[in-house]
Amino acid sequence: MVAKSKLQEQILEISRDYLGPAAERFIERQVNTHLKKDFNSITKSDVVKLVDWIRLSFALLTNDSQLVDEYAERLLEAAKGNSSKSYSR
Amino acid sequence: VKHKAYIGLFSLLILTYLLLNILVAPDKVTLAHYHLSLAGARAIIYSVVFPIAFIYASGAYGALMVKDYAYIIRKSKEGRAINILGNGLLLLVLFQVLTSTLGSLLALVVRHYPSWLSTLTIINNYLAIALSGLAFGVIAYGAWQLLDLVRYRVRAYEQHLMTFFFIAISAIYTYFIVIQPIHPTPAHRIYFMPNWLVMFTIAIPYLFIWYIGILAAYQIHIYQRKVKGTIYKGSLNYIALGLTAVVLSSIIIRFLATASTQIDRLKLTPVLFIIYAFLVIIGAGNLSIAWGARKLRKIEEV
Repeated sequence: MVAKSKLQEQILEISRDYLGPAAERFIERQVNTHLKKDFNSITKSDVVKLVDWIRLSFALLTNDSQLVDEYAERLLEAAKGNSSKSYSR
Repeated sequence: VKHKAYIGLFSLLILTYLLLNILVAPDKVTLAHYHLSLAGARAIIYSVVFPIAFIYASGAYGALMVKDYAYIIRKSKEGRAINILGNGLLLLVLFQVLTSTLGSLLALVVRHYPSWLSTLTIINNYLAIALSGLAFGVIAYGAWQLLDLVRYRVRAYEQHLMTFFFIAISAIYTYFIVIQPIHPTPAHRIYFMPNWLVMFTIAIPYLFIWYIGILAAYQIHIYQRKVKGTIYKGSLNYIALGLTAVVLSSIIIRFLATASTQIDRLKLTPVLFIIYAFLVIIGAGNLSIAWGARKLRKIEEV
């Protein structure tokens, strides 16, 4: 099993707040399907594209656009190395 | 995931249930008791058996949805627990259809062979206990496995609340058993056994089955509360609520059976009101489970 980088851990941790135990599978699916990569190999430069796909997929699961925006924003903040902003979740 | 065998079995049982209730002429004693015409009785029977068939179909659909979801997440930590839960739900709805069909068959057989009434009733009662015990046992095991994933310790006040709730149910159930006429007519007999045997082999096992059923619903609710994920929790909540309604409806069926002598004394409108209220609860429960499982599955599909 390959150790995850801090960025990957952060992406998973944020995703768990919205998707719970399904988060890891959800993220791996988005990365594999849309970025044609392995989740363990993603870098900061992949995050913007990944967030675009996540935004689209996540919007299929909820009608709450604020929640979709919040999730996307948190992922982008994490990629910038800035996660100080507080969120409801 | 294909479920041809399950779908075939459910379709066969539901069809048999419908045919037994639709094709067989209503009982003359019942017609006289409620002052009903043949057409009126048929209209009432249709208004009950078709919703019941729909409810059973929705229950089977919900259980198969949970099984589908469990298959998709089979490699995850919660996959095994959800699969056990799905098996339990599948058994529960299967046994519900089976016992309803057997109940209808029993009524038909007894009309032609009245002397078989006591033997067939006793067999039917014990079969219902064994089957619902097995289904609720599997559900309880699945719920316990699920709760184990969040390592939750039940708090003292929760335990007290559960105990109080259960003492109340036990007392009400005992009341319905005790107020049965001491020497009922054969038509009003429910168990055809001595009271002590009813108490030890029917009342106590049912109370235990309800206890594990209610506990399972509560454990799923706790798991849903403790696990992370706004969207995931929302979907799981439908399953927890649905399971609570299904457990409650199972309790209500038993209460109705036990209180049938009292219900018989009521006029037709209150009797129908009780039946329709019960149908609404069990229907809402099954649909809620199906909806929750569909939503969980969707998370795995996008």
